[in-house]
Amino acid sequence: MKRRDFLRTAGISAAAFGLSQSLLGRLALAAGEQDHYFLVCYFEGGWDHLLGLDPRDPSVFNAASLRDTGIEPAYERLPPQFSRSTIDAGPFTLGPCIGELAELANDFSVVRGINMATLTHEVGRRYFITGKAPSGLQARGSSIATVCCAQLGADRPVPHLGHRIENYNIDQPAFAGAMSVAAVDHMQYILQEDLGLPTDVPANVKGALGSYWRERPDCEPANGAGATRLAEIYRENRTRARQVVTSQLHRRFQFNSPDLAPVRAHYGLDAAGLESAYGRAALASQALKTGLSRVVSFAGATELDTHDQTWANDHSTRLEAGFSALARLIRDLQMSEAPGGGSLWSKTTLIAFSEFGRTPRINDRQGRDHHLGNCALLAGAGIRGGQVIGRSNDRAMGPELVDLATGRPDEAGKSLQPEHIMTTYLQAAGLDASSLRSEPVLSLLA
Amino acid sequence: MNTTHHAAPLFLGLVTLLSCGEDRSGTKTERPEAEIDVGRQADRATADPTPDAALPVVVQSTLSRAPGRMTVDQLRRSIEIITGGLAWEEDFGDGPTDMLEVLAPTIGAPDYLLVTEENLEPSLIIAKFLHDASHRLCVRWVENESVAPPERRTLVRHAAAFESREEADIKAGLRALQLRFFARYLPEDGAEDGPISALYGLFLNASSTSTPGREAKDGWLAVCIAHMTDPELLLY
Repeated sequence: MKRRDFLRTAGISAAAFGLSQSLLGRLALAAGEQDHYFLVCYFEGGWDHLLGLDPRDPSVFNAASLRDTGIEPAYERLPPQFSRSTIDAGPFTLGPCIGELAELANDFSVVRGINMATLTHEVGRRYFITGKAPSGLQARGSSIATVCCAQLGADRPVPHLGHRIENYNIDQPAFAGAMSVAAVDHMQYILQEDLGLPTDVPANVKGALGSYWRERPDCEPANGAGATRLAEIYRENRTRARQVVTSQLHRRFQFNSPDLAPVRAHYGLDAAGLESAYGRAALASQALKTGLSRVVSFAGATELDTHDQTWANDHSTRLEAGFSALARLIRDLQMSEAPGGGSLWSKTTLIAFSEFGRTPRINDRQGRDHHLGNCALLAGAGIRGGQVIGRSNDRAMGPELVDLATGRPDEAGKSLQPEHIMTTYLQAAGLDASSLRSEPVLSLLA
Repeated sequence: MNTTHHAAPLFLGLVTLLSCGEDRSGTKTERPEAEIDVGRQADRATADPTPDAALPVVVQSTLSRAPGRMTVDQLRRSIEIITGGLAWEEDFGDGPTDMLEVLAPTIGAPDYLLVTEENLEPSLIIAKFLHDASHRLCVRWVENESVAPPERRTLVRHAAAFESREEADIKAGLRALQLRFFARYLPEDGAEDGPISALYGLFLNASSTSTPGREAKDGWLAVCIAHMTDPELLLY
């Protein structure tokens, strides 16, 4: 994308890119007790769990049984590149649109039968993002990504990077709030001084300003807005902003440059384009690998809200792209070394979710509507992979009660809800989840 | 001098009420609240936010509420008023583009699709973009000023000649800028001279290291950037 377009829309070694050694040095030093990274991946619009994480065998759930089950896999309606059946991924079965993620089934666990208690996009989305049921449409807590970031600290230039996902910071430190970037290609410009435009500010002026800012606070206030904690935060961020633009980090986000050819090849960006599920995965990966961020929340797949005939072609291909991009992201992090040693993946916890699932029956418009049941995917550090937790039943895929200790269906168990999943996500990294006032799914914790 | 100085919009009024023109004893000299007509909408390009120096001042010692950050829209309009009509615009071949408008979603302004409430934190990203904006805007402002007649200047108002580097001229200009940017009245008696001395030092540092012929431009450019990136501009 060219700069004009940027304006319109809104394991690659560090040494090879001349990344500031001092910055990397600081990051390596900071890689101490809480050397952890988080990825929050949102599938926007409500995903079809029959096509992905909670499939049904079409030879059993067919036209003859539809009256009894209310479940219609409809895999035969998908474009020809997709399987007409479920996919045996080893530890469990997945849907035909799971893409490359099927090859990594031992690296993640699936939670099925989550009860969202809503059919409204905003409510479901905010419920999962915050781990708290919204008040009306209003988010009632900070994003879990923000909570993670607050507990990990502000040792990265952009501690929490967000892309195409809502983020809330209601009760956490300011640094933990997401810096939202509107497009993948914006990142390279954001990280450059003057957005990479030629500057007419002479070096002597910059030098004089550097001395001025170092030697005194802005207005030596004892009162007024300049004397508040808010102003202190601004000054800290101003200093960090200057460090970022001098660190040459932007070169690690110039996805069209020859230096990043391996990244383009790994994510298939030449074919898929930068503003795609693959581009967003590449952005998330680069943000962690370069030390720009500790927490990245981003949209995996987008535009999944397909109520009509677009479901067959569009939902399936978008969902598959989101899952495959996620698989490439996991592989990339598995091959990348963390600043403190070990692979980045060994220190990264990932969650993928959508606001709800889609109805198991095809509607009159040849699409699927909103469904109360949902799924989630958890993977990475602190998560025991290769498991299925919970279950949706065989009558219209209603969520079943679950024993939170074993993760197995249990009539005396509890209804799985987003707060259980998010509590597990936080506790997997040893973080405090008390603000959610919930319990983890113990069998998911490694 | 333009005397229609009661036309600043609400946020500048709030800036005035909460600005930190305070001496070390904890007292604060400011324009009285009643002097600000917050309801009047004047032509922004010609509005002069600088109050008449002859107006009485009052003493106010404490903030009455928590501080806040300007929205992106407030910031854009403030910059327009302060600079006498300039906006952070770039032209990439198809006409001027308002950068703050384009960057608003990244800074945290709502798009009412995914984001419905503006992120009003003084984040790294707004600090970074304000830094960028200050570079682009101040260069243009200084260039405009350097060729403008004294009565039409908004940045260098208190020196007959733009090129003047007389201490009295510079300090008078700095006091006017404090008033213009932050609605902070600093009297000439020296009681609250801390910010002025520091800014004067900045002016001297930038101008003394300048290439010949650019001394005043570089001095005022540095002063302009320092003001535009000061938390007092963004916060109120």
